[in-house]
Amino acid sequence: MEDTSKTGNDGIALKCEGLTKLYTSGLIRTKTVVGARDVTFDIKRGEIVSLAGESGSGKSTVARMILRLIKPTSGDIALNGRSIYSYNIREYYRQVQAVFQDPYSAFNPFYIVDHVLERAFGLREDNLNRDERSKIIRSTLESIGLNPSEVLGRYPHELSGGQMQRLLIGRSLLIGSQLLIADEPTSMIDASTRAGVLNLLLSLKKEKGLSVLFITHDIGQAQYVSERVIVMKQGEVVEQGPVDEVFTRPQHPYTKELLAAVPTLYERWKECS
Amino acid sequence: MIGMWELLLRSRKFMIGLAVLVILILLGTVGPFLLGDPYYMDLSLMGRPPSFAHILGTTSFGEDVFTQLCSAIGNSLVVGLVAGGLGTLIAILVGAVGPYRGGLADKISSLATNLALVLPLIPLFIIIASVVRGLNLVLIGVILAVTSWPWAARSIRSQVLTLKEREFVNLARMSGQNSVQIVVTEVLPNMLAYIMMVFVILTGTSILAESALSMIGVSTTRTITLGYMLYWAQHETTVPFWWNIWWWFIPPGIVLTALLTAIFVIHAGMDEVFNPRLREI
Amino acid sequence: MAEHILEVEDLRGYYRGTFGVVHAVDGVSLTLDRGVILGIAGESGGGKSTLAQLVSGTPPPLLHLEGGRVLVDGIDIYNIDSEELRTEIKCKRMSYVPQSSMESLNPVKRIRDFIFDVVGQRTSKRVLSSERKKEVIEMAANHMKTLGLDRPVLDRYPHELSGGMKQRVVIAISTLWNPKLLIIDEPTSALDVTSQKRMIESLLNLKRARIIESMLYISHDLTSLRQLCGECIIMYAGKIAEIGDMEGTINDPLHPYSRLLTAAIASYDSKGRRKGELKSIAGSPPDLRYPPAGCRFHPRCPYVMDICKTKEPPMFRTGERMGGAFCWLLASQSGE
Ligand SMILES: Nc1ncnc2c1ncn2[C@@H]1O[C@H](COP(=O)(O)OP(=O)(O)OP(=O)(O)O)[C@@H](O)[C@H]1O
Ligand code: SF4
Ligand SMILES: [Mg+2]
Repeated sequence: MEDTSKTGNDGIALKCEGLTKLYTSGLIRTKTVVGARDVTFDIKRGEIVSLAGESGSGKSTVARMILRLIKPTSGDIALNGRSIYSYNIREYYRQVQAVFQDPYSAFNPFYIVDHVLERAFGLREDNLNRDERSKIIRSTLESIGLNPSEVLGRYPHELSGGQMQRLLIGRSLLIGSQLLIADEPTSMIDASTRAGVLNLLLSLKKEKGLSVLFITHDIGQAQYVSERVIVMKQGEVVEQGPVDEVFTRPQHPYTKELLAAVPTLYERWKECS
Repeated sequence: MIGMWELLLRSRKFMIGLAVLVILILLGTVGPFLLGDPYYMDLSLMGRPPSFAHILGTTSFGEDVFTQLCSAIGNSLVVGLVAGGLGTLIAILVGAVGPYRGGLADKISSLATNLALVLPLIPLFIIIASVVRGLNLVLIGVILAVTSWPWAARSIRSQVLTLKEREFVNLARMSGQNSVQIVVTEVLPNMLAYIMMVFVILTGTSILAESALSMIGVSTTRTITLGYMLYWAQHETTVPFWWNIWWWFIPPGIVLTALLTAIFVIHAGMDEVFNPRLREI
Repeated sequence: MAEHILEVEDLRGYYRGTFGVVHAVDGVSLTLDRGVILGIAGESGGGKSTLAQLVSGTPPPLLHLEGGRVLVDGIDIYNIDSEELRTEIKCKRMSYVPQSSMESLNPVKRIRDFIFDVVGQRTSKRVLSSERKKEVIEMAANHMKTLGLDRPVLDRYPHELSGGMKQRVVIAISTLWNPKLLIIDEPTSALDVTSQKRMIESLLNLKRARIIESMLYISHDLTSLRQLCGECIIMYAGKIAEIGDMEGTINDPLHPYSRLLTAAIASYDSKGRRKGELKSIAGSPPDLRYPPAGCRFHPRCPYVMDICKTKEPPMFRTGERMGGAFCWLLASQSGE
C-alpha cells in the first residue's frame, strides 16, 4: 500500500496548503490569537526541511496540526497525496511521528521509561514477542548513543535531560515512520551527542528515505541537516528557500535578526561583553 | 513515584497518624465481635461509673459504654468511608470528564460543580433526612458524598487540565491511544497521590459532618455512631446534671478528636511528601 | 566574610536505588570567587545537574552525599541543621533555579498570588499582611524589571507567558532575597535563540544591578556559556575534565574531551557558511554505575595511553593559564 502511494504522485511526502490556526479564548469577550496563518510548504520524500523562528512564531502550532493534535481552522494537509484526516489514526501515526522539545514533560513520571518504548510497538504491524522487542529496543538505543542497561528500567526523573531526549528519538525510530516532526530535538543535549543525532537523521534520510520537518532556531543545525528552510514570524512564513541562500543572503529583516541572535563559540555578542 | 512511597513511610506525621488510625480501626472492627450486642440494656446497671466489669461504665439505659464505643467507631468509619469513597469517585468523574470531553460536557460539569459548591450543606441534609424514611449508615454516607464532592472535583479538574498539557499525553495519543485510555493509563495514575489525599480528607470531613448532624439529631437515631453517642449522652440522662455521667460523653468525644486528628495528620504528612513544589524554589 | 563565595572540596554524590549505585558526581573540587560567573558544561548525563543539586543543598531523595564539603560563604552547608540551611543559607546567600523549573509555577494561580505563596512558605507565614504584600510585590516588580519583564506580568497566569518569560519569572522569585550566589541549571536550553539571548542579557543585568554577586551557570551548551561566563569547567562522567578561564578553554582546549566537544560545534566563516563536518565522539558515555578505571574518558579517547587505563590523572597546569586539565597527556608538558 505504501509502495503504491510512493509511486502514486510526485514524490511529495507532506503538503500543507493555506494552513491557518486561530486560537480563540474567553466566553463572552472572545480574543483571537493567530497561531499560524496561510502557511504553505511541502516536504519531499527523503528530504529534510527546517522550520525556523522564535518561540510563539507558530512553529509548534504547525507541527501540532500536522500531528493531528489540533485541528486547523482552515487549510489542507496531505500525506502522500491524501488528506491526513482520511487516514485511520493508527495508520497515520505509523507513518508520522514526532520528537518533542521538552523531554521532561514527554515522559509520564508514573512509569519507567520502558513504558513509552513498549507502547510504540502497539503501532507496529509485526507482533513481536518480548525477546524480539527487547532486542530491537536495545539495538535502537545503542544506535543513538545510549547504553540500554543504563537507561532501561529507570524512572524518567532518574535520567538526565539528554538521556530522555535520546530515548524519545529512539521511540520514533522503533515505530519506523516515514515522516518525522522533530520539534527542537537537540535542545537538551551536548554538542557531541547533538552531532551524533544530526548525523543519524542524515543517515536515516539517506538509507531509509526518511522525511523530516526539523524545527530549530539554530541556523548551524538547520544548515547542516537540511536542504530547504522556512522562516516563520508571528504565525506567517516570511521567507522560504534553499538553506544556503536564505542564510547567506537573507531577504527578510526578521531572518537577519534571527541570524544575528545565534550565539557562536568564538565571538561574543556586543551587548554582552 | 517509587521514591515517594518510600518517603511517605519515612514521614513521621504520616506514620503516627496511621498508627492511631489502625488502632481505632481495630477497635471498630474486632471490638464488636468480641463484645456482643451494643444495644443490650441491663436495667439493673443504669449510669454506673467505670469498673472492672464495665471499663467505661454504663449509660443511663444500662448499656455498656465501651461496647457502644467500639461499634460507634466502626459505624462512623463506615459512614466516612462510604462518603469518602463515593465522593472521591464523583469528584473524579465530574472533574476529569470536563477537560477530556471538552465543549458542552465541560461547561455542564463546571456549572454543576460551581452550583454544588454554594449549596448549603446542613439545611439540605436536614431536608433530605426528614424526607427519606429509614435512614441507614450507607444511605447517610451516600447523602454526604453527594453533598461533599464539589471542591474536590474542582481541584481534580485543574490537575487534569495541567497534566493534559504535558507532552506525554500527546505522545500516548500518537501511540494510538484514545481519550479514555489516556485518562485511565496516563493521567489518573499521576494523580493517585492526590486522589488519595482527597479521599482521606473527604472521609474525615464526612465523619465530622455525620457526628455534627447526629448531635443535633438529624442523622440516624437508631445506629450507634460517635455522634449518636454524644447526642444521647446529652439528652437522655436520668441524673440531673449530664456532666455527672462524664464517662458516657467523654470517650466518644476523645475518640472523635483522635480519629479526626489522625486523619488530618495523615493528610498533612502526605501533603509534605507529595507537594514539595513550593518549598524548593 | 569568607574569601570565596563558594568552595567545593572533593564532593561525591551517588544515587542509590533499586537500579544500583550511580556515581554521578565523583570527586569534584572547585572555588568560585566573588563577582565571578562560572560556567559548567559537559556531556548530557555527565552529572552537571547533580552537582548543582548537591551544591545548593537540595539533593533529591535518592541522591546521597558520599563525601566532601560545600562551603557557601564559608559555611559548611552539610554541617548545619536543615532549619539553619533553610533560613540562613537558601535564598539569602544562595538561590538555586533547577533545570526545567518553569513547571514549578502553579498553573491555577496568577504570578502575583504564587509569589505570596512562596514568600509565605519561606517566612512560615500562611497569610501575609497587606503592607507586607505590597512590599513583596514592589520587590518582585523591581527584580522583574531588571529581567526585562513588565509589571502586568504579575497579573497573568503561567500559561499566558512564553517559556522564556516563565523562566525569568522563576528567576525573579528565586532572587527576591538578593542572594549572593545564584545557581542556575540550563535556563536557556528550552528557549529559542532570541529568547536565549534575552535570558543571557537578563542574567547579566541581574549581576549589574547587584541583585546577585556571583553565579554558577550550568548548561550543556558551550556557546551560551561563552556569552556569559568568565571561567568554565568541562565535566565528563561525574568528574571535572578541565577547568580554566572561558577564553582559554574555548580557544585552546587542553583536555581531549574538551577538544572533541568544541569541534562538534558548528562554526561559521565570515559569510555565515559552516566550516567542516560535525563530528560526534565515537562510543557512548560510560554507565555511571560502573565507571571505567583510570581516566573516565579512556574508552573513547583517541590519545589513550596505558597509564590512562589504570591510573586516574591528577590536574596538570600548563604555562600561565588559570586552571588546568585532568589528563596524562599534559604530564610531560607541565614537567611534573
Ligand atoms: N534521581 C536519580 N536517580 C538515579 N540516577 C539519576 C538520578 N538523576 C540523575 N541520575 C543519573 O545521574 C547521572 C548524571 O545526571 P545529571 O542529571 O546530573 O546529568 P547532567 O549533566 O545534568 O545532564 P543533562 O545535560 O542531560 O541535563 C546520569 O547518569 C543520570 O542517569
Ligand atoms: S588521561 Fe589519557 S585517556 Fe584520559 S583524556 Fe588524557 S589521554 Fe585521554
Ligand atoms: Mg542537567
